Amino acid sequence: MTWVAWAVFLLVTAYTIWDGVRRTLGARTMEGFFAAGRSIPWWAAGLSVMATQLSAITLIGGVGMGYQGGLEWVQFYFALPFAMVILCVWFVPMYRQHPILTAYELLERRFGPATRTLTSVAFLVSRCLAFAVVLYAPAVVFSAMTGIPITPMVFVVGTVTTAYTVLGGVGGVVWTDVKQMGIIVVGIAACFGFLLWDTVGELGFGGVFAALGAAGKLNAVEVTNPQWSMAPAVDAAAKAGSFWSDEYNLWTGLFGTLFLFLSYFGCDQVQVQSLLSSRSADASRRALLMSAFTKIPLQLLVLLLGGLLYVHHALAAEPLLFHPADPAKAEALAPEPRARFDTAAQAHAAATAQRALAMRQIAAGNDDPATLATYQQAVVGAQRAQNDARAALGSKKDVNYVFPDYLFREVPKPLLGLMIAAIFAAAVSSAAGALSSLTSATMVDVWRRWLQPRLDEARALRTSRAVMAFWGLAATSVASFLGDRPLLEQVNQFGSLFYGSILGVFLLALFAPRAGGAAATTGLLAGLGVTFAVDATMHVAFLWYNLIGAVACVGVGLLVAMVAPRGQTPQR
Amino acid sequence: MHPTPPPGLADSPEPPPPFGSWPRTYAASIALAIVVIALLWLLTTYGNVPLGSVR
Repeated sequence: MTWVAWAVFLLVTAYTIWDGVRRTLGARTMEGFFAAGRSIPWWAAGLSVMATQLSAITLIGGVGMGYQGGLEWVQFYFALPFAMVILCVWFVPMYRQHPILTAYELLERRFGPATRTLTSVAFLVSRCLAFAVVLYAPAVVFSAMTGIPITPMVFVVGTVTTAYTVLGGVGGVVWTDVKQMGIIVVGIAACFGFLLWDTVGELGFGGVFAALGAAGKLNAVEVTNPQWSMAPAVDAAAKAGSFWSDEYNLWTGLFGTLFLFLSYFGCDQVQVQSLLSSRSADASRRALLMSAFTKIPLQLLVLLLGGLLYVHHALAAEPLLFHPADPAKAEALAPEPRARFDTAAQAHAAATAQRALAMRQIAAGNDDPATLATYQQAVVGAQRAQNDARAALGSKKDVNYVFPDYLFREVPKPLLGLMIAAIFAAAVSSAAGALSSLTSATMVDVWRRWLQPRLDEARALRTSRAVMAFWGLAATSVASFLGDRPLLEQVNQFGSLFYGSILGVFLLALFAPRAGGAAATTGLLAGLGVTFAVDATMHVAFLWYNLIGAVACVGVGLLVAMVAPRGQTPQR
Repeated sequence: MHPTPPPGLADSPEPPPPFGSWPRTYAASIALAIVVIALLWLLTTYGNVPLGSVR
């Protein structure tokens, strides 16, 4: 990075954080610290919801997924508007009826303290590891690109996040999210425009569209696949053909993610805190709907950015591998893997030359089957050669390095600085949301509920800041020691083991008046047990875990409610 | 002196719901989501050539 890129990055980042914190310094109460005094306007809450969900690795990896897999990932978001409408109708009124600070506080009013504590602890367990990885994942990528070691990178992200969250509380997080979301959108749009100018200038708009379509990258909706079997895969060999193992298609997008989004936006304190901080129930509804209808276009833009980058590389010179450490690893290979690597490199060079030629013909309007077949063979051949080269090196998938490789090598330095600021903003906003929610759940559901119920506001606020600093430093320390381990994908899936069951408890609270504390607690444990059992014995796409956990929790909860209906339970 | 606002409006600083009422807003949201998915399906059907489908 040059000094210009550093200067842009530092100025943009410092301004967003300073402006976010200055608006909310001086919270005097728990409500001021954890709910911003219920003063956040709907548009700011909506932008905060989006910024918290858009992590750095989602942004970087999203471009890489668009590059390698096309538009298929957009199906993940199809259920978002439907989930948001359900949340607006049933969940928002439930939360805004009571002066609560965490989602789980509500469960005590309905089911008693055991269910509240158990659900809150399930949230803390599922979130604390994810928080460390939110700090660690982008640091791994930037460490590889800049040569700066991972530990100082993690330390900077962790310290900055902890400092401004401790100072500003949820209000500081929300107002910083607003600015950060603006930077992310401007950064993505600038990169998109830069690549569009480059590729359309060479192939024309219709040519770019035809080249992407012929490479199978305009695959936004997959309804059926002749290879699918309806039997769940119990071994890895059967995974490729099982409908239940396929992660991104219309059905997982509509039904699996519906339950994921209901749980994530409706029951996860990371997101619920934004809804609790807004001015009114109507403001919370507007925030949810706004984030639903801006998320899909934004995600499409990220994936199309990956598609444009694919066309750009196909026309010029596509790198064989994207991880910056791979060329040095290739130099140090033993003779036998080195021979395999060289063969893969030659195959890649031949396939990319053939692909560039065929792409120009297709873009010029030549759509005869022979040209199309040649193009598709070259597309597959180039990808296979990259896989072979990685296998010879013993490297993992490098989808997260596709976009940084382009940024660091090709874009103008001011734009590089802006994009680094955007990616840093995405990392910090997700981490800050996680940090404030971990603290509110710890303080409200555990500390003030069980350890010091009579803590006055001033001391509770001081303790909250100390707990927040503890969580921030603990996660930063854990992230610093993670090293380069394959944790990233597992952590997303780890959350899905809990989400469905937690949602099930809230569904029982809303729709099962006979269910009491015993039904909710048994349902939660049953949902978690079934989900963990499925995970241990079958190869099912993690998106289905949300549906499985919710159905198991509600089913068992209803059975228990029939046997032992709600008796003298606390107020609803 | 300003007139006293009607009950329910004084504590709601937000403008009224989009499309006049929340049920209409929800219906419009669901309709818009279905239209977006349908447009993306059309893009896939008419613009995409799955890899391996041409020989």
